[in-house]
Amino acid sequence: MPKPTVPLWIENTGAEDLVIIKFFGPDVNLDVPMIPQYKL
Amino acid sequence: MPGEGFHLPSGGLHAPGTALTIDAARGFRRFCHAAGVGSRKIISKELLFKDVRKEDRERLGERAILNQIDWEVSGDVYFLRKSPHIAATVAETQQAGGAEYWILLQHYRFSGKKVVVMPGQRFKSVDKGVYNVLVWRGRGRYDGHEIKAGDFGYDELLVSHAKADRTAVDRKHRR
Repeated sequence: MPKPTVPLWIENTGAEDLVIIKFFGPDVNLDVPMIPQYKL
Repeated sequence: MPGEGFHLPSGGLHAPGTALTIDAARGFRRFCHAAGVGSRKIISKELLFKDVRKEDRERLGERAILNQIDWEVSGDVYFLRKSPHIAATVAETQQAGGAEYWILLQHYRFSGKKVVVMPGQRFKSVDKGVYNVLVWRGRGRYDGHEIKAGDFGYDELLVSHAKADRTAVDRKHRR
């Protein structure tokens, strides 16, 4: 499993919320909470 | 609803949504552009057959495309009820300046986070490896780099492994 890395700072310099999406490749985060697909 | 989404399994017919669409693709993904028109332009039919072998195209024609589609997924009338996504808070990174949430909660290989930083605030971001950044709303700085939503020159970043893991860089320089 990949190890935790050093911190990077994200700064909001605007007047509204800064919203960012991070997208990771396969198997970087294996500890993500999962929602099982609902079976009807 | 704001903040909600859904996961479309592989093999399902799909198109970009009106909000944010993340199209996770692996190296062996097959591409097929099934729409004939996009952004009011005629799309070449060659894109329909881009990843179909020449002999299969000659033998099967458009049936080669129909055979690639997962019709159980594509025709599921209960699709939205089966796969709702509501972002989950990342408890260990909660800070005064903002919050972080897990997204992509039904994909077992890829993962994603949404980060919300309040105006005038800073957020300490720690992750485990290389990742892409999309600036969805607002403006600011990411590790000193200017970022701005909606500006194609400033709304995407790649945080490399070497950047994120400076201990690896330090080890390399000590050799």
